[in-house]
Amino acid sequence: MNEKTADEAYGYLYRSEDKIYPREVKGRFATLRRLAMFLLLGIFYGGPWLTWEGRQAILFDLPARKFYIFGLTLWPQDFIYLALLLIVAAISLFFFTALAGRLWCGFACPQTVWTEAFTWIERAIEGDRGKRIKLDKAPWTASKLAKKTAKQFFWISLSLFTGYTFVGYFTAIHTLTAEILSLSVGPWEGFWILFYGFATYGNAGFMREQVCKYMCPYARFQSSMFDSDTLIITYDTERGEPRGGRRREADPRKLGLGDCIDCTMCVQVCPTGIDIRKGLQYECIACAACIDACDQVMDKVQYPRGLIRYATENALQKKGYHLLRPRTLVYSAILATLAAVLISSLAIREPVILDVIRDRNTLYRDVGRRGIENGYTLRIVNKENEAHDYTLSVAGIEGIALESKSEFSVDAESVFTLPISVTAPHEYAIGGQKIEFRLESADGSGIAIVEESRFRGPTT
Amino acid sequence: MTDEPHRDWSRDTQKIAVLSWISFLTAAAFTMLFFAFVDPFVLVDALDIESIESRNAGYAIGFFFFWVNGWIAGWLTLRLVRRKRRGPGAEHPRASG
Repeated sequence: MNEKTADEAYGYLYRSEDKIYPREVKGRFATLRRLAMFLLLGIFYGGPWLTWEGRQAILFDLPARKFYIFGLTLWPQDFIYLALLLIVAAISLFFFTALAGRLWCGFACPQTVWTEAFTWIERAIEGDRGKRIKLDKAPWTASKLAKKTAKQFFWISLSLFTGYTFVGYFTAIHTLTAEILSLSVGPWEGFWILFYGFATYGNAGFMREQVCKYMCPYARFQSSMFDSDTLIITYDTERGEPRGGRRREADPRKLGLGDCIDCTMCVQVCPTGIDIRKGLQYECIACAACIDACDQVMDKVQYPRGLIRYATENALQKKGYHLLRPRTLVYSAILATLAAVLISSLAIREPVILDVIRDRNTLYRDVGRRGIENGYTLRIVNKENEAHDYTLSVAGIEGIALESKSEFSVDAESVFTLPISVTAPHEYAIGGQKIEFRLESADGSGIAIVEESRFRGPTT
Repeated sequence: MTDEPHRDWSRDTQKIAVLSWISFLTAAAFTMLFFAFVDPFVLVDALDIESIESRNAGYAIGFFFFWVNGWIAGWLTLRLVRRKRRGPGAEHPRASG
């Protein structure tokens, strides 16, 4: 089939668009976005360098299977907290989307933040929109080669630095730096630095808005969190239309024109290349560049600002704004509940874990006068930063007793495995019965934990 | 390559990009979930693989296993649910691949 005919017949669906050269924009939201970029990149790049009590403050030590987050040490057994945290983050995203649309996309998404950084480098080297278009069309000269090489050099350097910082959250950054300086980086660390460097380069330098348009699941689902009271970036059609050029001193009302002078600045600054005047589109990442651009133009032609602005559908139709509505109430209720569960469960988290594993090879052993014996393996995980002495006891059957040592010490942040045997008199050790192991700290730190298991004896 | 970065993608490029990204995200999530409960060393012992010497290698292999798995599942799904074009340019003019 002739592609051109199909494109003409079916419109925009599969049309190849030209490369987007977003024009630089200055204004309130551009400043805000720049600030967000510095803040978020600062947190990301600075994060691994923070220290807490002599160790890296945020370190996901995968080889040791321990996560350090400031004063908190999380073990694999604490995965539930991480899961809860991720759920809280997801619900927060829904909540803010319902309130203020795609704030996340425009200001906080890593895709936006790194694209902003990459565009900033591009602009610093190749100049603004017009210059970049001209440069790309121009034949290859020494100056063009120099500019393109410089841009690639800074892009690749930033990408590799990003990969290095990312790995620094998993391998102590001081160790990693020393390894890099002495060219002795481990194979997996080296691989992940290159992998994340490559991903950063690809996403922020090469794919950019295509990631938002085609690859991002949030971009596709966010509209289901929208309602008529969600803040969106919108063009005031009633005020702007009919659009058209006019001389500065002309009175638009006499010419039958609206406030839009059709300068297309809003289209030129758009990083996803859409025309906001056609209404809300899924490609819009709510970066507010068009608001800044339009406000500047409105200032120049001395019309009031806000032809393109943050507004809700209801506000545009003069129906007022409703902050409290079922959607926001439900989201905030879920959010508050989950946050409360997370914080309280972290607060009452046991500093020690006791696992009791029954010996599966033999059900029980008759040990003559001492009665019936069962074997167990105890796993004691001391999650605290200091060693503790513990006393172990067992209860649940008349005359039940521990046959092995009941006092021991467990080092800080370590796992202690202890095989033990428990006996009970013949007359009481009949069938399967519930017993309880009780672990208490013997050093006055007030730790006490109980774990249930079963004791088996002959059935008659 | 970077001189022509922002052209809209063809359907096939879109499919590959979406597949890779979505399977990447799910692989990341499942790697976290899986290795929160399973120590790679336990797995290495159970499967008797001597060549894996560090936990990091175990995590990485696990991640790529999940990624490839998601990718294949997604790709097969896309192949199986695609609709045949009926007549010239019916509904989706170029969605035959």
